[in-house]
Amino acid sequence: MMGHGETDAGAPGLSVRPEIADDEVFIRMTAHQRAQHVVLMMSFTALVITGLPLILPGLRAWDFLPAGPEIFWWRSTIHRTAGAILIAVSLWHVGYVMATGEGSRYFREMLPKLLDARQLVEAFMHKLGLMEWLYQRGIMKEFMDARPWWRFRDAPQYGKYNWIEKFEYLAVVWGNLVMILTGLALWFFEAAFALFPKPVLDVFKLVHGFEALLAFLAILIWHMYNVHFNPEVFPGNRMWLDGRITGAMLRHHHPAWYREIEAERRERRRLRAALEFFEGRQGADDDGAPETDHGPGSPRDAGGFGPKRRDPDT
Amino acid sequence: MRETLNMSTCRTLGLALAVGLLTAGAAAAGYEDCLVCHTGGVLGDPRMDVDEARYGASIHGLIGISCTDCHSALAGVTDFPHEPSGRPDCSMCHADASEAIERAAHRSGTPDAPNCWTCHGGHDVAPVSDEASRVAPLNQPSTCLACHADASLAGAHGMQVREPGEAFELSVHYQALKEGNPAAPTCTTCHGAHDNLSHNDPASPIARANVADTCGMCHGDVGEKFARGVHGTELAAGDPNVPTCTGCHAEHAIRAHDDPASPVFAANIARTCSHCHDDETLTAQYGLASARMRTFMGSFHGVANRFGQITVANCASCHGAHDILPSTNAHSRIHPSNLQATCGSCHPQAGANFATGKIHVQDTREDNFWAWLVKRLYLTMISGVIGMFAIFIAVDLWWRWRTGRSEGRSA
Repeated sequence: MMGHGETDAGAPGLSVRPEIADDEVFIRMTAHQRAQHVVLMMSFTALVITGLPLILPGLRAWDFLPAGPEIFWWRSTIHRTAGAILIAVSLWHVGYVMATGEGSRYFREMLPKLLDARQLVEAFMHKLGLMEWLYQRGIMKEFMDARPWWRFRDAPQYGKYNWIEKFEYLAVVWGNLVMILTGLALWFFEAAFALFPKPVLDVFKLVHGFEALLAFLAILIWHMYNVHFNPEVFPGNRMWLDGRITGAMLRHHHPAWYREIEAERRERRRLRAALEFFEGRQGADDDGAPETDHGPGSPRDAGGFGPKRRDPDT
Repeated sequence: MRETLNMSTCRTLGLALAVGLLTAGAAAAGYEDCLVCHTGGVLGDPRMDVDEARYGASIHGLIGISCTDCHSALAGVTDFPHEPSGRPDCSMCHADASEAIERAAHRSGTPDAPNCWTCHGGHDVAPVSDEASRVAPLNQPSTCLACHADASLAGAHGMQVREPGEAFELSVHYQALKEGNPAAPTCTTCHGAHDNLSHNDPASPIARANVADTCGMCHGDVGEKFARGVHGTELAAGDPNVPTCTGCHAEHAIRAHDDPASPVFAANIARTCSHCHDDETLTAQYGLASARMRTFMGSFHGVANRFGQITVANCASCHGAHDILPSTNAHSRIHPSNLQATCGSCHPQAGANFATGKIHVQDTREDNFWAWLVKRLYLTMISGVIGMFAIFIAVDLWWRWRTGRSEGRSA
C-alpha cells in the first residue's frame, strides 16, 4: 500500500528492466490446493443435486424421474457418499492448515483484517462513483479535500487475497462446519435422537436445508460471477485448473501483493550484490539466504515473500 | 353343447323327480308336440323356434320339464295355432327367488327391469354352478353389464357408477375369479342376487352402513378391526363423512394393497387420506389438525415416499390402517405412551426422545418456536446476503460499463 507507480521499473540506478515481467507466470494455487478445490467442488455439486429433492419435493421437474424406489436409494447413497468425501476433504484441509507450513501460512493470510472491511467499502464506493460525482459538482468538496479518502478516487490496492476471496473462504469454513454437524445428526439420526429431543432435530433439519440453500445461491451468484461471468474473466478464469496468474494480472488485481514481490526482489538483488562483493573477497561457500523446499526448476511460488529461493544462476 | 353333468346338476335331479311327479298330469303332452311347429322357421319367425338340443341340455330339459310346465297357459290347449302363451311364471317353482325379486330393485313393473330370463337365460337356463351359465361367477359381470354398462340406462336410472365392469376387471377380486378362486366375489356376492337394492336403500348390502359387514363376510378380521377404529365407531354412530371400506379401497376397482395403482399402495396412501385430512372444511368441522399432507411432505418420510421409497413410514405405518384411533385414546399407536413402540417398529434404537415433540411439524411459532425462529433468521439472512451480492454485482457491472473496463489486462 505504499507506492502507487503501476509500472515501476525497479530501483533507480540498478536496472531499467521491471522486476516482474508482464508474462511471468506465478503459481497462485498450488497443485495441492487445486486438488482440494476440485474435490470440494465435485462433492458440493453432487450434494446440491442430490439434496435439492429434499428441499423442493414438490417440483414438477421430478415427475420426469423414473418411478420406483431405486431412484431415491441412489439419491440417498450419492448424497451420503459425497457428504463423506466433503467431510474427508474438510478434515484434510484442517490437517493441511495445522500441520504444513504452506497450509498455516495460507490460513493466516485468509484471516480477515480491518483493512478488508475498509477495502470492501472502498471497492463499493469507488465503483459506485457517487462521491466523485458529487465532488465534480462541487458538493461536499471542502469535506473531501480535507479528507481525500472520502472521494474514493482510487480502486482499493488489494494484497494476495482480497475481501471477496476471504469472505468466500470463511463462508466455506463456516458452511462446511454447519453442514457437516447437522448432516451427521441427520445421517445418524437414531444416535442423534439419543442426544437431542425431536424439536432440536427439526431445527437441525431446517438449518441443513437453509444453509444449503444459502451456500448454493452464494456459489451460483457470487462465486460464479467472480470467477466465471465477470467480464474481466469471462468465459472463465483457469486458475482453478492450472493455478497460474501472470505478472500483468497480478499488477492489475493484486497491486499491493505485486509491489511486495517487487520490493522483495529488489531487496534480494541488493543482497546478492552485497554477497557477490563478499564472495569475491573470501571465496563462495554460503550465500546466506534461507532455502525453500522448492527445487530450482519449479515455478516461482508466489505465496512466499522474502529471500526464500535461490535463482539457478546464483 | 355340454358333455358332463356336474354335481349340482345331479342334486337338482332329485328336485326334478318331485317336479316331474307334480306335473305328471300336465306333462302328458311332450315337447315333441310343440316342436312340430316351433322349429325350422315353420312359424315364419325364427324367434319362435326352440332349439331342441339346446333345451335338452338346459337344466330344465335335463330334468324333463315340459313346455307347458312353464308356458302353463297352454296346458291342455287343443286348438292350434294357439293364442300367445303370455310370460312364463317362474315363481311356480322358484317362489323364494320371485319373492326376493319383488322386494328388490329389479321388481316387476320397474321400467327397464330385467325378467328372470334376462339374467338366467330362457330355454338354455343353467344353474349358477355351471361354468357356462350366464349367472356363473365369472359370467356375471358381462350379464349384469348388458344393462349396467349402458350409458343411457345408467343415466335414466341414476346409476352413479358408469363403468363398473371396466373397474371390476381391474380389481383383485376379478383376478381371483379368473384364477378360479372359489371364494372370490362376483357381482351378486356384494350386491345380492334377487334381493339386490340400490345403495341408497338402507337395507342394501352396499348401503353405507352395511358395506363393512358385506366386506366382512370374507374379510372378517378386518371388519372387526374397522369396527374398533375411529372410522368404524363414527360410521356406526351415523356419521355421514367418515370413510367405510370403499372410501379408501375404491368400489369396483379394489386392488391389492401392493398394487402400485391401488389407492392404499404405500406410495399413494398419503394422497388418499389427504382427501379428507387435508380438507379444511372437514378438518375444521371435526376439530382435527389440518395440512397433514404438507406436514408429511415436510418430513423425510414424506419426501422419500413421494419419490417412491415405499419402505419409509406412510400414514398407516404410524396410525394403523383399519383400527385408526385418535392420539388421545390410550390404545392408539400414536398415544404418547405408545409412540416409542410405534417408532421402534422401524427404528429399533428409538429412545424416549422419539416421543418428544410433534411429528407433523407445522413450523409455526406455537409448534416449535426455535424452528420458527431459525427459519425466519435464515430467510432474512439469505435474502440479505443474496441481496448484497446482487447490489455489488450491479455496481461492478455499472462501473465496468461506465469506465469501459471489460478486459482484465487492459487497465
